This record gives sequence, C-alpha cells and structure tokens, in this order.
Amino acid sequence: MDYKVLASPEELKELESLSQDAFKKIPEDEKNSEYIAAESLTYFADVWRRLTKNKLTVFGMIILLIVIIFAILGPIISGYTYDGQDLMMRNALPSLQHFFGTDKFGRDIFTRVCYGARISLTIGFSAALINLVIGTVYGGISGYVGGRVDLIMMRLVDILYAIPSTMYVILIMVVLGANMYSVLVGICISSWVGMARLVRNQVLTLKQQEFAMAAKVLGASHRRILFKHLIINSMGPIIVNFTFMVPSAIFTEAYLSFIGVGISAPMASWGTLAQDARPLLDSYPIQMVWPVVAICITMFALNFVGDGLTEALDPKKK
Amino acid sequence: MSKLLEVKNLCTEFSSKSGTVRAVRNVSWSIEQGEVLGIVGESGSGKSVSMLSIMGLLADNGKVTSGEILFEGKNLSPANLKTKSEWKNYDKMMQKIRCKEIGMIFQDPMTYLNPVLRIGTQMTMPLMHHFGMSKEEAKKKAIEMMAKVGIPSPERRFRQYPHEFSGGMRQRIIIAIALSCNPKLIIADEPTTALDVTIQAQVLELIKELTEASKASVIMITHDLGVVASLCNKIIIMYGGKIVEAGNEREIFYDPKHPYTKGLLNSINNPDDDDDTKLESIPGSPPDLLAPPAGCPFVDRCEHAMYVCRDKPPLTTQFSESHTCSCWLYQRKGEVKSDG
Amino acid sequence: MIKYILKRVAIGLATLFILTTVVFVLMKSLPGGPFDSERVTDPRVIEIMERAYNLDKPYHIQYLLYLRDLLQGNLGESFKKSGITVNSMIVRLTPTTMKLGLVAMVVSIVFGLTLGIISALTKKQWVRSIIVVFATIGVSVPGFLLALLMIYAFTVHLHILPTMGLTSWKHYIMPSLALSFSPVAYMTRMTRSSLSEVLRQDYITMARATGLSKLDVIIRHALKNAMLPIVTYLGPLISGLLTGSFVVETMFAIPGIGREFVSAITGRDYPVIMGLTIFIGAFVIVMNLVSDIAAAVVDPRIRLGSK
Repeated sequence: MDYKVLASPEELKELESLSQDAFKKIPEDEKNSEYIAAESLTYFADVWRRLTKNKLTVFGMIILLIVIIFAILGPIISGYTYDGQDLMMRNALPSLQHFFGTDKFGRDIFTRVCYGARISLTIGFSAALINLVIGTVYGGISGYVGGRVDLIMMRLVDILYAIPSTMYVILIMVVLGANMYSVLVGICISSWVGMARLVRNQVLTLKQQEFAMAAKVLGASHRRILFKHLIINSMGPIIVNFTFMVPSAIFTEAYLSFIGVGISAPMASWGTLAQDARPLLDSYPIQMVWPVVAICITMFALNFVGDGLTEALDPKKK
Repeated sequence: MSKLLEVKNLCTEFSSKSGTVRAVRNVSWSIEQGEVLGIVGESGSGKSVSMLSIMGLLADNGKVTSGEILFEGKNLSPANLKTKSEWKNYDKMMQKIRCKEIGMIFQDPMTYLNPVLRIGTQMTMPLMHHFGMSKEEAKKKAIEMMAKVGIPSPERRFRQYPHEFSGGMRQRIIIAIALSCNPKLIIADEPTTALDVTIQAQVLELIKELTEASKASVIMITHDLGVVASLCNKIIIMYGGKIVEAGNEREIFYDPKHPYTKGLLNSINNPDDDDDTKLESIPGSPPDLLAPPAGCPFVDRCEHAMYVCRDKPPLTTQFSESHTCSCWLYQRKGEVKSDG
Repeated sequence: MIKYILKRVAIGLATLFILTTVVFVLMKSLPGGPFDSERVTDPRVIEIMERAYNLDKPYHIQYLLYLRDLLQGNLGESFKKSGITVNSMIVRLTPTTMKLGLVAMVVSIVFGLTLGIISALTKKQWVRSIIVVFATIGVSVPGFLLALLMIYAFTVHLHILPTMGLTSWKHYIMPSLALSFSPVAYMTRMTRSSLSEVLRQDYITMARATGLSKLDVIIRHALKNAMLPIVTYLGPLISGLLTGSFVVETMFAIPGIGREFVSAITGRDYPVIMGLTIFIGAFVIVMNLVSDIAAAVVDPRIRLGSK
C-alpha cells in the first residue's frame, strides 16, 4: 500500500508504542451503537423535574399551599364566624384576639379573609375545571369532526369571543342575583371559548399525524381516538391554559364583588372586603391591606406557577 | 491558483442546558478560486455549523472557540476577540463581507424569506446596503437578477409576497439574493433538500451555470452524495464534527477509504448497477456531541472498529495529493510511513 | 382583502344581533316587573305605564318593537330618571370616557412596546429580570386594587393628587395608571415573546447573511413581524380598558359611561343596562373589526386569504 500518515515524530512514537491488542476488533456485542444519550423519564416526571427547578414556580406553589391551608383551617384557628358581629369591638386594630383586626360591625377580618380565600379558590378552580371540561369537549368535537360542523361551532365561538366576558358576567349577575353560584355560572358561560379554540386547533393538527391514523386503522372508536389519543397529546397547552384560567376567574370574581354585583353581604369575598374597606381608607387603612395583599399574593403565586408550567411544557425548550 | 478561503483547526461549540455541544472539532480545509467544494455529512455532522461559523451567524449560544478562517488572507475567525470594540470591528467587517464577498444560499425556501415583506424589498435591501444604490437602480438590478434565475414576468413578481411563490421559485429568489452582489464565494447549504425531486436538478443546474459565469467558488453542503457527484472538484466527508475523508470526485466515488464513506456509497442507488444488490444502511445513530467519543466518532457504527479507535483519535493518512482519510485502518503498526 | 373585510363585518353584525337577543331574553327573564320596586301601587297607573313601554304585548312583538327601535338608533329610556334617554346619556358621557380611554391606551402602547422591545433585545440579565418581575406584578395586581393603593398614598397620605372628576391633567394621572397597569404588563409580555420568537426565525439569519447590521435587521425585518400579534391584541386591549373603566370611573367619580353603567346595575335600571350593554358591545365589535383589518394590512398572508 502506498500511503503516508501525516504525523509529528512524537505522535509517531506514540503510535509505535501501541500494543498489538489495541488493534483487535471490538466484538459486535461490545459496541453500544444504539445507546441512548439522555436518561429517559416519563413525560410527566420530566415536566415535574423542570418545574421544580424553577425557583419562582416552587415559591408560587408554596404560597398557594399556604393560602389553601389558611382557607381550610383559618376560621377554626380564629374561633370566630364570618358574620359574627361584636359591636363593642368595631374597627379594632390587629391584636392577638383579632389577628387582622375587626371591621365596622366588629367582625373578625382574619376569619373573613380566610372565608374569602375559600370563595376565591373555589370559584377559581371550579370555573377553570368546568371550562376545561366544556372547552375540551366542544373544541375536541369541533376539531375532530371538522368540515361544516367545525365551521358552525367555531363561528359561535367567534361571536361569544367578540364581547368582553365581563359584560356577559355582569348581565348574568343582574339576572341571577348576587351569590357565588351565579358568579360561577357567569364566568363559565363566557370563558370556555378560549379553551375550546385551543383544543380545536390542537386536535386539528394532531389528527393528521401518524399515531392518530394508526389508531383509526386499528379500528378504535371515534370517542377513543379523540379522548385517548388526541386530547391526551394536547395535555400540555391545555394544562397551561387551565392554570391561567384560575387567576383570571379569581380576578373576575373580585372585580364583580368590588363593583357590587358579586358576592353579597354578609358573605365576604376578597373583592367585597376591599369594597367595604374603601370608605374607611382615611381612618382605617389597615382594613384595606388584608384583602389587597391576599388577592395579590394569590394572583402572584398562580401566575408564577402558570409561567413555570408554560416553560416546562414547552417542547421547544427541551 | 490561490487559496480563496482557508479554514484551520476550526472548533465551534454550543452551550446548552445539558452541557457543551462540541459541534465542530478541529476541522481544516481550503477552497481555491473557481473551485467547487462539496461537504457531505448527515445532520449533526457539523457541516452547516462550520458554514455559519465562517459567516459569523451562529445562534447566541454558539461560539467559535478556536481556529483561523482566512478569507483572501483576512482572518474572519471571532475566536480570539475579547473586548467590545474588537467585536464591534468584527461585526463591521462581517457586514461588508456577507453577501458582497461571501453569499449564502439557505436550505428551506419556505422559512428563509420574510413572509411580510415584498420580494422586491428583500431583494433590493442588500444592493442598497452594499453598493449605495438608489431605489430605482436597485430595482433594476433586482429585476435583472430575477430574470437571470428564471423567474417569469419579474416586474410583476417584484411586488409580490413570498407566499405567492412556489417552493422552487422561492429558492430561485434566495439564489438571486445571494448572487446579487457578485460574491467571490457562494455557500450553498443544502439548497435542494426542501425541494421536489424534479426541481432539485433545475436548481443545481442554475447554481452551476450562474457561478460558472461569475467565476465564483462554491461550497456545496449536502447530505446527498448524488448532489456532489456531478458538481464538485473536491469533496469532504464529515462525521460527528470531524472530517473523516477528503478527496476529489474520482477518489471518493471509486476509491473510498473510510468505512463511513463506503457506507454512504452503499446506501445510494446507482442506476448503472444492473445487479440486484440491496441498498445498505449504516446501523446505529450518530454520536452524542455532548460527550463525543475520545477516539473516532464513527467507532460505534463501524464494522471494522478496533479498541484503539475508541480511545485515540486517528491521525490523517494521505493517499495522494488530494486524498486524505482519518482512520486507524490505515495506521497499523509497521505499515506507517511518515513525512515527519 | 374586500372579501376578508366583508366576512369580518358579517361576523360583527351576527355578534351584535346575538348580543341584542341575549340582552333582551335576559332582561325579560328577570323575576318581577320593572315597576315592582316603585312606590306606584295603583294597578291602573301600572297598566298605563306598561302600555307606554309596550310591556302589555306578547314577548315576540316586544322583541320586534325593540329591534325596530334599535335599528332607528333608539336605545331606550331610563326607568329611574324619567325623561332621560340612553342616547342622551351616551352623547353626554362618551367624550369623558373616550378621553380617559385614549390616554390609557397611549400609555399602554408606548410603555408596553418599549419595555417589551427592551427586554427582548437586551443582553443584560438584570434589565430583563426587572421587566419580567414588573410584568408579573402587572398581570397579578388588579387595576382597581392599584387604584386603592394609589388613592391611599397620593390622596389620603400625601395630598398631591385629586380623586374627583377629570378636570385637570392631574386628575388623569391615577385613573389612567390604574387603567393601563395590566395592559402595559400584557403588552410587555406579548411584545417580548413575539419579538424574541421572530428573532429566532430563519429569515432573520438570512437577512443577516445579506450583510444588514443587527439594528437594520430588527428595524426593517423583525419589527413588522413582531407587530402582528400586537396589532391583533388592540381589540382585546380596548375591551379591557372599557371594562376597566367601569370600576375606575366609579372609584374616581369620573362622569363617564362606565360609572353610569355601574350605577345602572346597582340601581337595577334595566333599560339603561340594556342600552349601554348594546352600545358598549357595538363599540367593541367595531374596534375588533378595526384591529382585524389593521392585522390584514400588516400581514399579506391574512389579506390574501392564505392563512
């Protein structure tokens, strides 16, 4: 053979010093040609790992947990009821007896804020859950069936989408009266459309893909294909949308209560508490602090979790 | 002939969350005036990254860590830049070189044109930038270029948007843009991969014709040996961020040395073969460049793999003036001749 | 383009029709008559009143009469303040709401775009962090709570800003900040994600490969693309400012549509609620239309129907 190796004298020396064994063939079974580079985790374990890496998200989850604990245990700790009046103790400042002080009727503000947390969290999570169900089914069917059905179903969504949902909620509140359930109904009637659009677009793209075709060829029922294959595979964006729906519902409730069409007395949500404290801003500003802080930290926490989830579920960031 | 572009010991790395990806490792080659160089390799072999390193267009997390890039004697390598003003000067220099000296044709005509700007705007911008042409002059030149790349009724097309063009037409526009400033070197990064087979040949022919006319050198990046066969004087085979074999067309196609090159040749369909030999595939997948093997990158897929291949990088063996290969098969003990 | 606009207009009209119907049905389904709470107890008086308002006719006739009135531009008359029509309210109150809304909109767009562009382009990590934190505060803190905090700080405590009405430039500061706080944050987030997404696109690499400087690429290639989602956000922005104005106008005692709407709701003044709902709805629909058309102007793909 006629060739030469381009090597420096040192490299040559090294080459000559290699033992004959080095030039033995590696047997097939010692090669790891199909070896997988990254350790493999299940999808959700992987998401969880990335989620908990994000400090702000973990912080948000802890805050959320604390708010939930207070919502459940708060009234028990304080020993007061949300409507128990003590006219001898009006507008009291925070003390050991009343952690957050009392309002103009002598009601314990700490208890009321904890009840407010119950209302806000209940509304936030149930509204998001109901929207999730309605939006997923509606959007899923629209995207899966396609064609004329899809066109009509999406036109309806367009029409609902065009008017700010707050307007619908206000109208529904006017008709149904001010209580927690009508707030919930109002929010749900108007805000599932975002989810429906999202699911529909997901299903529309996913149903073209091989795995959906494969399921079809294998003879799976339509319902099975839609829910077991298409929707499971759109879970990422659906979860993200769900997480942002919670703070948005909490905001809507607070807003409605604040303008006076939400939760009515003597029940109190955070919005109502802020509204009650407004006339006393000059004399007892502390009464306003509690509901404002409660709303803000809860919204913060939920947004942190939502942002973290968005990032963790983003396939591009993997 | 003089060397137009010479790359010496180029290393490019990307930082990612899971570690440093060593995309290009110690790669050297050169291209002469009027030459057509083919760089062949599968995705992830570092061929496109080397080109982006030359152009200074790496993504934010990419970095040329060492090596020289000599273009007509000027060093374009950003490896040793430190201060802000050095980077500023580098940016200024590159802005004059891009398109005017080195033009680049990209892979996917669907994504490399801006969807919200008219074709005309996108074509005239570089002309106005490099030659200080007025709008009218640039328009005239752009329409001339459009006609040259074979776009029918260019005056009308000038005012249209990319989505009104077919894929092949868009690729012609990209070629027109890359050639509009008469660069000395054209880098064509998989110019036909995203196109229909029938259009691929036309586009290749067009690139060949236009560059022959302007006497520009061409670097043709591809994963398809068939593409380089008819076009290139010189062919480089890359694998796992390294050059495994280089030679002229005859040497690569009729006397391949590296097992990877042989594998590549076996995996393409030769219409001249009458026998029913099956197309062969190379088993396995390319190495993980986060932790590339210490030795030859191909070791895990190579049928001749030896223990030394795994531990030590092979030296370069020279077979003729143009033909080199990096493989332990040609460096056995006692068979080695050296030029020292 | 014309086909696209016509399609949008048709959807807008359908939306308006459905809105009017929904409003009508909801109002009719309210328990009790509108005069139940009045001190009028004489059944004859109520009968006359009902006839005057066509309330004695069957529902479908009432509905048609109501539609006819709407088509003539007549939005009805207040039950509570006799002789005051919704139309006159709108004429009287709209300019105030518009003025405040415009100021808030300009603030939202200018600050939102600036902050968003800065955070997408800067290489300084701390600048980006500050903007991200600000944007998170913005989407987390409801505007009306910010208004409360501002009133406490600047009016109750420092006595430097007024809270009643909208008569001097000082009066604009707190309401427009309260209104634009969340929109600025949304705008910032959107501009940031849209611009950084665009900057990752292949055509940006291509533009750089033609020798354009980074700044040129951003100005001449990236901004126009990044504008797209932002332009489509203008419709929702206007609805957001409007619903925000309900509570902000109430808190700062600004005589605008929002405050009137809230007082109609708390006062159960149904014709005013209906009339204003339809007016606000129509306004939002028109604004959505404008923002859709603006998007089509920016993006040729929408204009020519390939998207």
